[in-house]
Amino acid sequence: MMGAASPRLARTSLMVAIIIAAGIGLYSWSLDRLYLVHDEVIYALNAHAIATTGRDLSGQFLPISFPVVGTFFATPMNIYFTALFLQWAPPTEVIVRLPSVVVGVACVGLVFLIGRRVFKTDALALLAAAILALTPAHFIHSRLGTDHLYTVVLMLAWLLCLLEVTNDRQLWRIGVASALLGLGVYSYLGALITMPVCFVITLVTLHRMGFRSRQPYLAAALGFVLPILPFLAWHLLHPDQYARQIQMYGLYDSGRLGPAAGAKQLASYASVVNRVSVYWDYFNPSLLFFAGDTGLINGTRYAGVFLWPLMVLLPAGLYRLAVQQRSRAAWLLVTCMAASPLAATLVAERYRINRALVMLPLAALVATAGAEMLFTARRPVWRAVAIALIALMPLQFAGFYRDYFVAYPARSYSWFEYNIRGGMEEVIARHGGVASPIFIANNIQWADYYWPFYLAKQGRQDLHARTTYLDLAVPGASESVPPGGILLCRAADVEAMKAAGLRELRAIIEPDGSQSFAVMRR
Amino acid sequence: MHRGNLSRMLAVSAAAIVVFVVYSWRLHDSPVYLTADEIVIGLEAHSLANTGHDLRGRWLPLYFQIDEFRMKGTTWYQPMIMYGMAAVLKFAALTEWAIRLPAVIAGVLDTILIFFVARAIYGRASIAFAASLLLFLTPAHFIFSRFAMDYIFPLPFLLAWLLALAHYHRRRDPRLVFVATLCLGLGFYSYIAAILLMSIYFVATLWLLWRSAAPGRHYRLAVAGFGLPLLAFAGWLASHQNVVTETIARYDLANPGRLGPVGRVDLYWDFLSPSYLFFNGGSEQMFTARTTGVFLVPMLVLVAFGIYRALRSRSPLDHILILGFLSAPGAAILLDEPFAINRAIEVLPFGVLLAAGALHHGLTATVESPRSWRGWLFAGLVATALIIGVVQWRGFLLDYYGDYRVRSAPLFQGNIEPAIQEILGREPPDRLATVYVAKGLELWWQFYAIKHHRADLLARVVFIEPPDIDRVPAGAFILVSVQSPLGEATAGALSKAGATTVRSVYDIDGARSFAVMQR
Repeated sequence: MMGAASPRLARTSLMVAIIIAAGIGLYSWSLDRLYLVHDEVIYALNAHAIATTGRDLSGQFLPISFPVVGTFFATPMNIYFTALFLQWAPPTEVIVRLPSVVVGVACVGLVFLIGRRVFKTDALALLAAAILALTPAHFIHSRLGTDHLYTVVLMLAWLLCLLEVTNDRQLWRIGVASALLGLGVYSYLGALITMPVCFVITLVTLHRMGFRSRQPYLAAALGFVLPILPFLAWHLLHPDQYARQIQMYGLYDSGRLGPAAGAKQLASYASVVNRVSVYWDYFNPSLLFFAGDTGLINGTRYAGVFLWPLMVLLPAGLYRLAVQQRSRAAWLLVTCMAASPLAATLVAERYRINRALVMLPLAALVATAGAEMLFTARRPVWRAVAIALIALMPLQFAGFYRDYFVAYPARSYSWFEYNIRGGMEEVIARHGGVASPIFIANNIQWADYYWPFYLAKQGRQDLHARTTYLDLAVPGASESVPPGGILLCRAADVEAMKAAGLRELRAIIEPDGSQSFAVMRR
Repeated sequence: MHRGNLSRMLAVSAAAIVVFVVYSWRLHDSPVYLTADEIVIGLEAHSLANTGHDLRGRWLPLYFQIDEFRMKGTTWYQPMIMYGMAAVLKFAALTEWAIRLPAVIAGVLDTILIFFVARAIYGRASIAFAASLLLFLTPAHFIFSRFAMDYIFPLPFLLAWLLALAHYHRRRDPRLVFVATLCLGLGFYSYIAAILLMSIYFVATLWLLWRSAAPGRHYRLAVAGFGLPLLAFAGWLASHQNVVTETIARYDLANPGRLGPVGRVDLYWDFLSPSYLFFNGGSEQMFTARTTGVFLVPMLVLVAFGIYRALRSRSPLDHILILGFLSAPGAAILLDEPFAINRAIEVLPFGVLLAAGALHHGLTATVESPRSWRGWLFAGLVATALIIGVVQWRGFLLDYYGDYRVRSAPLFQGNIEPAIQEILGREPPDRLATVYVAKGLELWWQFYAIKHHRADLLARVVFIEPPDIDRVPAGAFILVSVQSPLGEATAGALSKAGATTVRSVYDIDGARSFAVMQR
């Protein structure tokens, strides 16, 4: 038995290694092609602060929750993971996005392992992994230094553990599966919905497996609750955070309503009707296969969330799993897929795939089931259809990939806060010593976060003390810029600054040739 | 007659009477007023009933040309409602109640037919009764069974087709497939959307024949059944070659600013949205009270489970039910009208039959294991669904006859009848004076003059616009609408010319809608 297992283990390890290598190669190329969006910068600054001082930007020592802007609190997992990378390298676009690449590739690897468990063949498992790797939305989010993908990897790890449970004596395996869900509350805010739902699915799965003793359920509950305890303790010590998070997502007016009244409002007829509509729209073919996310950060509008072949493979897979098969794995995949938009539904945000990323790997597995159904059909024409659909995927992905690096930057730069990077790095390069105070127009949104980031990137944190944020709308504000002083301003303010006696050193240009900022000097 | 059959016939008859009474109650004022479509259809049918000609003098036309709404191009109305209404008006006077009666009859027919369809498919009278009850309680079915418009007319033909098809599937009698497709061919003339949908159902029939390995003769009979009624259409089309372009213009189908393919996918998906189907019923408040969905809330679970059950079934009939449910918005997505249930009403019988399938599945499981937890669960769920459904239906009815009449009033053309009655009262038949009515109100004047047996005034009326004010002699009565720009302009011109308002008429929501003025 050990002899039979070793070659299989070796083969599996080799396949996983190949998948990881291919994934890293595909996903990590030119990570700095797109500008950083402000979320990435804020997370990176916090990660850098943790890596260098052990404290976040507000001074908290190894916090569980990171206050970022206004009423928004960030979950810690991606920040601490990024901090690990920043232990060894300075903060750059590549370094702050590399953790997401690792997480994204890990998801692909986990899908391969789950696929082997579900489909019992390496070929179909590889297909599932390939489908996820070539999923446009997964590619996009594996290259953003944000936290959305962390729930996905934990959910996949949970799924794999749960599928490995074969009897009610494997309490450790049940506990680990649930613990992964408990850890999920630290991954992304949406996990506060997703993970409890997955926990309920765990309990139902155990029941469907015929487990009647209490131990498996206790193991599951303990596994789920233990990791959450620090999270609960934190919220007890910071009681206003809950209300501010509610306010942030507009669930109800937490200033006026308590939790019970707020829950009642959420359960009102109008609220339920609206959320049912939002939930339904997350399965809209227009979103999934054509238009993608409404924003140009989470989508390119060149492709949908998934590639076109999944228009056929996904329904075929749902039919295969929900109707033809009645296995535990089939039930789990379909149920989890149905539950995947619940977090997005609660906040009633339509067509925001970043809030439902757990759908992606589940869809890859379901689509593989669809391919399996076509491959095993009696008529050869269906096998030909399956081959054609699979062959179409890399072709369409190639088009998406090319657009992502060539035309997409020009379409999306305004969503990524414009070429602040170019402006700030130019200011740093042009800085001429103590006699060159630095001024940054305060109408450049998020400049107070980007500037420390680019100073850290260039190792010029010393310039922060010489920086002033200037309100150019105030009459005479430009007079504050002394001779030799450098100003970074918006392109719209250039003429006024020229009239005030400053000289434009460099126009900061976007991919489409338009100017967004200017570096000026008196 | 066998006692079982007799009692069943009596039960069906009693049910038909109950449905008729409920569906026809207060037909004259709920919906609150007549729509422009109802008026023009009523007048056409009245002309047909009395003279055999339409309003343009065509004798027993196949399609009815309507230009009165001044829309882009000509509108061609389907014949089924015209002839159905004419049959009623042969015996009844032209009133709101009479012109809406054919839709009520169609609704009653639906609830009876679906009983037989469900019994043919599922083999249980209890499930068949449940299907009837579900359709009867469906808010959208109730609403459309009370409009003198043709939206609901495809349903009896669709159900008759399903009935014949279900019997064919069991007995393989080729005459039944002929009857089935004959129903589709006749249904082709029921509503414009039926042109597409009946064709889809015809293709589904051929697919069922293929699944059943039917001989070639059955295919030929199917084609003959569908094709025979369409011969009239083909002949008519040959002599009315502009109708395609006119219909395209009427629905603005050639406008390049219309939705693209991705937009139509969005539109289609919206038609299957649970919030629209089971909670708020769409955006057009003339056709939904918005206090319920197209179906009642309990149908959400029943339809979902019914679809799942039908997918797992090997019976082609079950697959046809799914096809029918999913294809119902097919015609509606050609127009840029989201949530327009009036254009996708075919979803109703298919939804109900799928729900009946879910009930059948539950009942079968209960019967097979009477004391199992599944049996108790099923009974509990059915009881809960019934309670929720009845409570919701009651709320819907109370709202329909109450606040909904006020909410929906602005969507109708206003409370014109009292204004016309005012003039009719002031202009007795022997007075022979000319009556003046603002342009745009021609159809309403005609309808209510006939309704109140004052056909004499049809020849004594002059329709005027602001430039025509000087033609109005002193002492003459003028009817104007104050809710339209043209009417307001006419009323303003009349006031400037010295006319005074002798009666103002208000809608149910308190808005002033018409005025009777005297020069």
